[in-house]
Amino acid sequence: MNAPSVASTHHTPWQGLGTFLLPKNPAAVVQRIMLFLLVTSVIILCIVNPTFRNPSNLLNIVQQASMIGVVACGMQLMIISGGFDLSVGANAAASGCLAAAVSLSFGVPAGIIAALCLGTLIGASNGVMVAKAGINPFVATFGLQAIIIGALQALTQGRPIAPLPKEWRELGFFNIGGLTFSSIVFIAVVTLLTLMLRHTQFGQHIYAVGSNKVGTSRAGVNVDRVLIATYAIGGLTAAIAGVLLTSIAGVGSPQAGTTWALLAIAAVVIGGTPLTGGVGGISSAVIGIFGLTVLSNAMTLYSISAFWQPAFMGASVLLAVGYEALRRTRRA
Amino acid sequence: MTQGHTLNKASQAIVPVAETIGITKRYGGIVALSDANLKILPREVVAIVGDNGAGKSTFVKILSGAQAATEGSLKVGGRDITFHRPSDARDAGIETVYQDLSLAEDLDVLSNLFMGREECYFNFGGLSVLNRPKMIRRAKQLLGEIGVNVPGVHDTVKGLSGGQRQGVAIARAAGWGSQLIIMDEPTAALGVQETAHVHEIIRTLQSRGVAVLLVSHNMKQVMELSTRVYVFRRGRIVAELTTAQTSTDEIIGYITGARG
Repeated sequence: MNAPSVASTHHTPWQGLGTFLLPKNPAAVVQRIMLFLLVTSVIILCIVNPTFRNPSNLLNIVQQASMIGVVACGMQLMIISGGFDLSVGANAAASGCLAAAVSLSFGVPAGIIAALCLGTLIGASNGVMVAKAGINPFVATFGLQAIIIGALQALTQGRPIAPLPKEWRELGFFNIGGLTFSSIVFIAVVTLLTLMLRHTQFGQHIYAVGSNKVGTSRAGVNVDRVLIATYAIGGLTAAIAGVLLTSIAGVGSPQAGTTWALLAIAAVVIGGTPLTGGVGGISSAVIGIFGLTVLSNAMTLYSISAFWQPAFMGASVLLAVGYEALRRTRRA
Repeated sequence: MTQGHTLNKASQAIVPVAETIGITKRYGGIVALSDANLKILPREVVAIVGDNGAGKSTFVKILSGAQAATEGSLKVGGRDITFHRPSDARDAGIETVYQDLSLAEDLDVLSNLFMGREECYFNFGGLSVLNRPKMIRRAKQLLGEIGVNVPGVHDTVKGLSGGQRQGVAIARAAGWGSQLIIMDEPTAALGVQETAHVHEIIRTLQSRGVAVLLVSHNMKQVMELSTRVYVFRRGRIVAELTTAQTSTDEIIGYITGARG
């Protein structure tokens, strides 16, 4: 009988670096490539373009990435769990408008709390439809999105909610050393969700559910609860972005967020997370959203028509997904 | 004959790990299982065999808590017990290794071994912080004791061979002080060497005092591993045989209905 052995893996720092640069997992390879492309293009742009390397432009990029970045972080969780949410944009618009409307009578803090509650509730409703009723995430979240947009347009007559209390503008202009309120919130969301995903039991269960729902349930995990909580957090991040938008725009805008869901999904995919579930990390959403923002910033600096932006984004998505799919099929 | 006699005497004195008395399952008007009496003693490997539709799966589902019996009772460790869900069976010390293994392939060996039973620094619901160093220590110890060869606990299950995956699934079932492990066709998808590896694991479990209920179509495996065999046919247990005193031909005779 062979002596049973579990090879103990001793990682030297160099081996650790090797695994980081060349991981085994095809999805992680895509992420490294995207990170490399992002870092190189930022360095090159900094060298060749004085406007790009201007600190105010760099801070502007961070600011632009922040709002949808928060949404992308929530989307990342839902994608790891094996689903996604098409209603995040509508959710953000509705939550932003509710924050504005409530703040007119009860003040800004009450408005923000109401918005975060609404967003979480919308997210949890998506989760209930996906987990308990077994509705496909595409259908469930697309349907809820249509209901929210319809109700929002009807209630506001399609008109922005303004003028708002001046505290909103103060919030929108608040910054620490050029780092705006939105960017600070984005950094906080990234930090908290990264810690949650990596180090908590719930984070572990999101991966397990995304990888094998039936098996995870058989192991005694309450899969429905994990899914509902995941979508609730996704809805919460959408509401946070809605509040940020109201603070930046100074009005509650019912027309906002129409492209956010697809932008957030694109960011996650470009950052190297496949839509199959069970893999990925918040770093994907961050790399993806900065990739998209730097791309759009560079196009503006070089006076390339903004109409080309969706085309470039689509090409990036196809490259990321195509490469990962190709590696996976070659292996199998 | 004397050997069988002593065995019967001994089995009356020892408390069975699990015992079913008159288990019957009806789906509407269809009787899937009728009056099943089965006993599993500590350290025993009991095989259940039978053709497709003979009632094996129904029996396993009832014993693993996935379905409730229409009639009959279940005793675990000598005490009457009713299972409403699989976690009830698990709490009573009965674990199931499903034929599809139910592993999360994108996750590493460690996460799979502790799925649903993660060790945490403190208990704060879903936000409990994982105690990975403790899980790694326990996982290495467990895999080593049962004899499961995997390259490392941080390898994803996707990259493991069929035998290694089976080993991880069995280790997960065995790691929690379970008294009885139900294995559904544990080697159906495996090659010769990997099958031998899984057999070794099952014998190790047996020597650690764990009983195994083996569902198998593989007669060679049944003869090699089991101590006793129950033959199911058309929803009934038609024979209870001591492996050392029977033959493949006799078992197949009962399965097909040529005997009994």
